[in-house]
Amino acid sequence: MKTVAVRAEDIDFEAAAREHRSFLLQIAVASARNPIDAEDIVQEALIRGFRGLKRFRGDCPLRIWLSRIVVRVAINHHRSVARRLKRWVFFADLETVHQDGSSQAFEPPDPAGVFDREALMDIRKHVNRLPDEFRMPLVMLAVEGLTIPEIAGVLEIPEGTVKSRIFYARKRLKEALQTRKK
Amino acid sequence: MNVDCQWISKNLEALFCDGLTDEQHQLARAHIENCQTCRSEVQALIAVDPLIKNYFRQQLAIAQAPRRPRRSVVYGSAVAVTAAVLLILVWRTPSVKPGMPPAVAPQTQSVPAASVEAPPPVKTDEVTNIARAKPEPSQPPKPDRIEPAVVADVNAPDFLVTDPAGYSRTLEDYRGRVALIGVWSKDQPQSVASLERLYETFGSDTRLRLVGVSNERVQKPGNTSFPILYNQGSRLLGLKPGEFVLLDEAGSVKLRGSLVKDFESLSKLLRER
Ligand SMILES: [Zn+2]
Repeated sequence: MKTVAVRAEDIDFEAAAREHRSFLLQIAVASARNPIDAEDIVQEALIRGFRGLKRFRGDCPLRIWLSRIVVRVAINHHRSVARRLKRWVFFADLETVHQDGSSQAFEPPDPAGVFDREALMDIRKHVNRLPDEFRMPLVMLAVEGLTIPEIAGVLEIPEGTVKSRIFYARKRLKEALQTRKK
Repeated sequence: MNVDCQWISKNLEALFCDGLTDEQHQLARAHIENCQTCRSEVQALIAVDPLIKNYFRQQLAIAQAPRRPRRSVVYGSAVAVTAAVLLILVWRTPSVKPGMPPAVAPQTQSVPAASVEAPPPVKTDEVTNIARAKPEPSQPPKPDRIEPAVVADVNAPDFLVTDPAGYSRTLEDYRGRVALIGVWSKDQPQSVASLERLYETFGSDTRLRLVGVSNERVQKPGNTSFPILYNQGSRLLGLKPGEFVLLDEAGSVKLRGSLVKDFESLSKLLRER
């Protein structure tokens, strides 16, 4: 791997942002639970990156350094959404009791096999059920040109941990899909 | 060392994570080649990857879809809180109609679940290279390589919502059901009242299910009980606040109109079902 000898003060941040934007968008999509948020996450990460640029030591490629910020922003974004949602009644958990005494679950689970959903719908649901630390490395595998050592760099965890989390995530998804088929 | 099914099962993670010695790796490969059970286990794990790739492409396409301007800008009112309410009326149908067109984002690249069931025969080399399947670090990234066809499919989805827990739903989720989708806004109390009445009247029907969608994460008006989902930048089937659409099991439009003005004809149609 080529060494990066870039100092923060030498960086044309605007040009770098332009160059890495679509890569960072992929990182954001892999990190966020909702792709609709990805653009905002990249935008915020670039602003933070610009402000904190003097902390960039050049010990990793700039795009990896920026990716770390994207991941952090994505996690915080999800948490703040979750916090906001906590104030809401989770009607999904509620049972509506009607005046005649009958009750109705908000969303009864689909009777197995009745609705032929696309595999993709299942995947989205199951992927979102994975905890962040397993979901992110697995989905990052799909980011164009992102290697396992780089995933380790972005998530700031050892390579071996990345591999075993990816394995665990694959296993969970496989089991979820196989259970659904039965 | 005796490499049997139990050993493979115990060391599956090590196999996938380059954690075996060369000798163990050889023995594991030999066993997997000859054991149907272990082979299909490994194949099923490998089959997850194309599903993830496809999932990622779809997510990325949604992220890249052009943003629609905020409604407050379009309508010139920052306080106009617009929400859509989706009432799902469920009439049990024996089976899903096979010819139903996908409602949102046809998955041209979709990898069927069947690939988990019956993946192509695994070559032992694939097993060896599981953890090395990524390009070499020296290879330059190609971040723009997104198939245009996939992007076009999901541009401005017709209908895309999430539940409060963040799980996405599309019309696909209501396949085989009759759905009533109504749009309300806080400055249209009559629409809100109509929806609440519909929910009170038809919500107790066990064949009937009501789900709500709002454009923004707003609190629903007081004295209402219909549930809400959140719109995710979709066109909501082109509905304006105060309008509804009734879809049949195959997703085709049965009735379209105003929640207030057409309340009676809608109620009548629902009663007659
Ligand atoms: Zn075996």
